[in-house]
Amino acid sequence: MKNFKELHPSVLIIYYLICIIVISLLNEPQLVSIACLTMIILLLSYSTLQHVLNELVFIVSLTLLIVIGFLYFYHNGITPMFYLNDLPVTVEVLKYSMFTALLVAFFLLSIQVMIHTLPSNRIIYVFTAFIPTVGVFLALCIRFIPTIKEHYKERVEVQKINGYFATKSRFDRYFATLQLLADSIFWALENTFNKWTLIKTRAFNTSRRTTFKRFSFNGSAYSQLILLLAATITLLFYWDELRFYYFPETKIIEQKSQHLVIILAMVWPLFLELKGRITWFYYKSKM
Amino acid sequence: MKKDFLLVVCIALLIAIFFSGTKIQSVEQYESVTKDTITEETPIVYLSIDARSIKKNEKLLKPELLKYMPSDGVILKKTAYVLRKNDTAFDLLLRATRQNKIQMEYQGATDNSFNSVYVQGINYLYEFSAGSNSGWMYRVNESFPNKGISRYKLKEGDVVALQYTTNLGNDIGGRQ
Repeated sequence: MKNFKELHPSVLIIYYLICIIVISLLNEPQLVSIACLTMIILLLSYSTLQHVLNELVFIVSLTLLIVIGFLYFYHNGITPMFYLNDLPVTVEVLKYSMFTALLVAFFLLSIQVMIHTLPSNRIIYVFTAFIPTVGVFLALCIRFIPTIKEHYKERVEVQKINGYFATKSRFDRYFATLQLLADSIFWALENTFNKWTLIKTRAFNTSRRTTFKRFSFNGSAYSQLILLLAATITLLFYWDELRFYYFPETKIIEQKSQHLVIILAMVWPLFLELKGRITWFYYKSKM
Repeated sequence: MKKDFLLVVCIALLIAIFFSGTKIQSVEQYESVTKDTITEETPIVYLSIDARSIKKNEKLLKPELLKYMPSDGVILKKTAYVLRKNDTAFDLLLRATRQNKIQMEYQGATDNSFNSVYVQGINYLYEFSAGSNSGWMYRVNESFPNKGISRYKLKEGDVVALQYTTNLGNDIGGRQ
């Protein structure tokens, strides 16, 4: 099945990198909204609805905190709503805070999608041919937080059975949770260094090794690469024109043909995913 | 149970501290300020705000800010204000911007290591709006005081000027 997940890992890395760079540099609200939506749909196709909903609850609460924080600390803009300690809270800051919250949501969602589409073995696979050390380093970095999460979940389950949280005091329960979290963080750190040593002892970073080529560049990969190239060229040549600003007066949202190129590059994985699923559906019907 | 009660008290205390230190005003409330009447006996000080340095380097300014730039670069002409007891240069600036409805954003004295207010932007012109060396500086009686704006106590007849620099003060006669 040839869907987005099965593209060459280097294409996936380029995709995530370009999406993050384009959205951060253009500050365009419609682009970030579409990118968030793309990531939610991709996450839904790789994960369960319950997991996605849990993630969304966390992201929405985080974004609300960001919006409140921005209203308190930013005071630029021409349309004051009210004054907080003699400093204006403006409509422009509200819009900017919403954009930033969406940007953070996009980062978090893309990390979630990355965990599903780019496991550490794929990252190592990409870098094996060029710089193995960097590959291992990246894989360990990306796996660091999920490792903590997995270990923490296991520990909590075990300790619950042992009666570690069996106290009426909420403080004691919080303290026990914090202790377990700290243990998991230190365990993950130790695990990372041990894994690095293990990989080195297996002579991973020596040259002249033969590697099994699991992934190849196919039509889907080329189509995604061409679109990403077009998006990069658009960003380089039209950055001044497309750049969105919020202060002092928010720029009016415009629909331009250049936006379409970027949007197409961002949502192309959805088409690939759909194509892959339709193909798989027909394969299954012939089985 | 006792500890849970303690937690509730802690949260309530934090909320109380937050709201006791926060003053919320509507736009009308904020803008309704009474001007001091200047008579022959009242001590006066002067204030001006200008960004003339940008006029020489307009290319440095972000394009969206051009329309907020006065044609001669002067945001507030030299104006006389009544000197109140214990007035600092910042008090004067705050009063003047409020009376003239000029936008200003600043960082409070407790928020930085200089123990003084830091003026971030006036009339939508912010630090770094015209390059990495740009920002607001203040001078009193033609010299640049070596202390923060909210620590400079004013005396009668002082002439305060807020000036925008595009080159760390070198373009307006200040030291680097």
